[in-house]
Amino acid sequence: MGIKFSLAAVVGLILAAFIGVSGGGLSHFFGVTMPYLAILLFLGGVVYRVLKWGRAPVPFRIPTTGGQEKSLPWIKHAKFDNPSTKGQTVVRMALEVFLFRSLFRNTKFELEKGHRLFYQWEKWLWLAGLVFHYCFLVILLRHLRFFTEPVPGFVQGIERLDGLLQVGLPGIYITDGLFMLAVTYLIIRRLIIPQVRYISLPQDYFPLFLLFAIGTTGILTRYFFKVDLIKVKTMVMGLISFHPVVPAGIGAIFFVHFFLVCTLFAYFPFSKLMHAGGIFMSPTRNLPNDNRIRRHVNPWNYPVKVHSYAEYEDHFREKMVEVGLPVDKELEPAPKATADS
Amino acid sequence: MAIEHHLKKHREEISQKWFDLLACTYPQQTVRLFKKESDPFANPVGQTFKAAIGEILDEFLGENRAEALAPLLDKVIRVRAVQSFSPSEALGFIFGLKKLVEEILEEELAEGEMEMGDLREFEGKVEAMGLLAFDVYTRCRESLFEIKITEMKSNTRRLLERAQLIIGE
Amino acid sequence: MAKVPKPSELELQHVLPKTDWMDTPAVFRPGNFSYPGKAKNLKVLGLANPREWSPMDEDWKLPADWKNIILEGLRERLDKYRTLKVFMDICVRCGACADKCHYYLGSGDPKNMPVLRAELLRSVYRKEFTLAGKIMGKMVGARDLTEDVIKEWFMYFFQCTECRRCSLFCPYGIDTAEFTIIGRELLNLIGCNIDWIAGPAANCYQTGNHLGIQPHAFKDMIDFFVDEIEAVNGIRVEPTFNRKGAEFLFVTPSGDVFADPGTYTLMGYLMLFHEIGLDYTWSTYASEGGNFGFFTSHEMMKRLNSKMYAEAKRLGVKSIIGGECGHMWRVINQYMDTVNGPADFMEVPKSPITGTRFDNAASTKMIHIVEFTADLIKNGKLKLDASRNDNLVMTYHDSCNTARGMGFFDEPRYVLNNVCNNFYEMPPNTIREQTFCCGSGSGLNNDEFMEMRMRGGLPRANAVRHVHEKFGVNALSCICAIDRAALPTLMNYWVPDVTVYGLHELVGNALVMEGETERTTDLRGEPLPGMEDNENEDI
Ligand code: HEM
Ligand code: SF4
Ligand code: SF4
Repeated sequence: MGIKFSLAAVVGLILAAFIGVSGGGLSHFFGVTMPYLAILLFLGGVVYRVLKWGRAPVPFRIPTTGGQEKSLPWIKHAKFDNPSTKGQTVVRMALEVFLFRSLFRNTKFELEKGHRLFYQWEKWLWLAGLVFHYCFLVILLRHLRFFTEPVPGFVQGIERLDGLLQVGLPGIYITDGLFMLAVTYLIIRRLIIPQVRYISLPQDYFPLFLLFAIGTTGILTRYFFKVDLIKVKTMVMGLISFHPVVPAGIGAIFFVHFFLVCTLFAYFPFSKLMHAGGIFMSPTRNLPNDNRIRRHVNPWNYPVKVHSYAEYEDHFREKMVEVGLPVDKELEPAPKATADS
Repeated sequence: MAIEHHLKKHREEISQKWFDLLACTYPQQTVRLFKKESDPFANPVGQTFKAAIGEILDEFLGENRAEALAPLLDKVIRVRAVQSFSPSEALGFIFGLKKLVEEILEEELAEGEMEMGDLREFEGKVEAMGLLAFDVYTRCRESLFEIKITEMKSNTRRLLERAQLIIGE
Repeated sequence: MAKVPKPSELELQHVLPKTDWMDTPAVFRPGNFSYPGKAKNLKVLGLANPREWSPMDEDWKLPADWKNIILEGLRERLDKYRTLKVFMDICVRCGACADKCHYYLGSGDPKNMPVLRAELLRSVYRKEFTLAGKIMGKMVGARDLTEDVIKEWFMYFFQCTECRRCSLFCPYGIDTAEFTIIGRELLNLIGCNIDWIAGPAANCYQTGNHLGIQPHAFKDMIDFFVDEIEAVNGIRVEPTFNRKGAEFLFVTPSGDVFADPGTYTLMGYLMLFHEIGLDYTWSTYASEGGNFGFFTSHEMMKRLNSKMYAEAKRLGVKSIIGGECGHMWRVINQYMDTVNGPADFMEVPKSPITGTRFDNAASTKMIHIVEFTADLIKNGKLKLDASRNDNLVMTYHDSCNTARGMGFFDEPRYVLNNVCNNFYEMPPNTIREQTFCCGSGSGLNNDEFMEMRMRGGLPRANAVRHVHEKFGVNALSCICAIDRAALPTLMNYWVPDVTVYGLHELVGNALVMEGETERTTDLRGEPLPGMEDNENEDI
């Protein structure tokens, strides 16, 4: 059900853009209104979400410790799996963010069982996840060439590296292929691993289908329909200089691609895609394990009802005295029946 | 007996299918994990079963001694005895062997390489293993009750010991 | 009733229907739940809705406005805990945690996958606290809060041992134990809790320890061990109680005082302290290191834990030493100073024997006995005869709490390697930070739950069996009181030839004490290696 629903939603989006632009003359809506709306929702939403998270305090410092703590000087400290300072924690976070360290723990390298490797799916998740995210990043950066004039050197550099495989014209980017492969893997994995399928919700399929569609339309735009990139750039530069123009004659396929990207951005803050921001705020990862060294303060710490020593002694004084346990208050000469059994 | 000879020929297939049958009694989301994960520590149940099924078959198709078979059956049944199966569900897999073997030997039966009587005899043997399995299951459940009592005792053993000492004085 | 099923029906059926998890209700039957909290215990603790009930009843006698209580409780906690708030939103359901939970591995029940355990709560959050959930309902994984949901929570939040193994593998560190802790807090608001937690917590609150042992009996028990030690090596140790002005307060879980084999560990502590001449005192008021309040709510954890600092202050000690315990140390390491500190009336712990200052406890002022002992050994202050443990082929179980809530790995191993000669590690994906739970943590070590405990402990037992078969391991050591109570049972069922030892029991065995008579037995009264023949003469 979730799969069909998500698929239908993505197909619906594609059709809406296609029909809207090619038949309905809505290119202004898809070319101008949508991107502004999406950016607004994206920025506003992300800020809103992060502030909302940030408003909740961190009452306790409860990092998940993944290695030897800082202890006696002669015991080797696993600095980055169990950081005890801010600096070490930053490294731990960097390992998480850039290398997906925790996901990597799933990986089992059972090389002697080489032919079984396919079943070690955890490793594939880490690899596909990493490939997916880095390709996504590179592709985003490459897109900067539409947003900048002159195009900065590093963007050109990335392009040159990425296009090293000079196959055909225009040159094929490595990341395009890898991105599609990785997304396809993530979709298939969700569909065929029964555990993962069981836990999957429509909002898990939807972004994957959306990304798949974005990738596909992007590739179509570039390699097959050969959309006029000069016009696209004119449009984008218009958007960012707040003098929007929609040049005539950009193929509908571009608008489909563009609309899907806008949807992704608009959808981002209201979905699980916010994991990108969430990981930075995750208290089991972003805090050092130094509670015994430095006191962590809980802003809402409140006094609670406790059973005080005085009450305790009142309760048991007689018995305590009898066996010679020291007491704060001596027994009264004629003891009342204070202790019970 | 002719049938054992044929069965040994198909040992791999029987073992595989019998294991599948056992695995299929778990929620389908889990079957894949139990079947595929090859690390015995990441998949204790599946790998225990896989190893034990092979051993059980070897003994069963070989000498078929009760005293050797019981500890092998124990490996599987001990797990199932604590997994919210009813006794019949826990042991159903044993009897499943009958149908499974019949299917595997279908061709050979049809070609007359062995007789129906052989198969019946084999089925009798499976039933005997079923009874043995029942003993094993009961022992596992009994040990579950025993350990409860042992645990309760040791949880407070010192207190009891002390109390008795005082009474004794 | 039902017809006799045909064998073919039994064989090939999946146990669970193929329904979506939201449509699969929790079914209680003897053996898969823990008995509910007794009214009298709830009253002692001032907990909500004390009553007699059973999870197998149709009607759970919830308070009339239970739904409101839960939702308000959830709202309050979302505002108080960033963990909860962030973890609600960022799970991508990648499944990396799914097969990491020992309960899932042992049972195959999909709702024991950590991610689904969390979804049990998350689905209600979506419905009540997110716009999409309100509008699209089930389509976005949201569902109404019904009594069936409460029943499901009760089942699965009391089927999680808060071991945090899932958290280690999650790319965002999502800690299902947080969901369990907070889920249990919510359940407590409407009186759904288990007696194995409420009982000990009530006892601890009133009398100072889980079993409700009164002060005179507590002292009496320890005196009893003094005799036992004397019988072993002729040395009479002299513990003191509630003594003002001692340098250290010593707090250990009360299981060590009453339950075997923890008692032998306690004898080890007594011998060690005597041998080095430590100026320390026991307390009958703070006579419980463990904290079953932690399995009830953060507040109850604070209430019970408060005794340690209060007693340290009253007695005027310089610092505290804590015995071997798992969840006690999770609380000490990650909560105590925050909830009941600052402990500015004490000093940074310093070993009077070696002069080592424990800067890693500069703020809590409380050190782990194992790090204390490790330091003594490192500085050559102890005379140890490891051969006294030569009949033991050891392996070591990392308790979840000291592993993933602290990172306490090499200290115990260092001590272990100095007090015994044969030590083998279990496979790497079952030890240290990846350690498997004993299956009985977080207040689930009750006997009515035995079946669940045995399957939850299967991954751990399986690894022990591996080293048992491969290296002939016959002894499993640990530094946790719940382990000492639960692992013997687990071993009894799965690997009967393996005996469980606390680390300081082994220290006690190996410790060569000044002026002791020749030992013929270990602390359990069993002959030392090479002394098997003398056994009878000695008695
Ligand atoms: C910083 C650490 C990050 C980690 C550890 C991480 C990890 C993951 C993982 C494990 C998935 C799940 C794949 C699946 O099974 O569906 C995923 C998906 C995704 N992530 Fe990230 N991610 C990170 C940052 C980001 C960032 C910065 C973005 C920014 C755009 C991003 C965008 C996405 C998208 C679009 C998906 C695919 C949609 C989906 O799977 O539902 N992620 N990420
Ligand atoms: S590993 Fe983390 S993100 Fe992945 S399903 Fe589990 S809790 Fe969710
Ligand atoms: S904390 Fe432990 S018991 Fe609970 S879900 Fe995670 S792995 Fe399972």
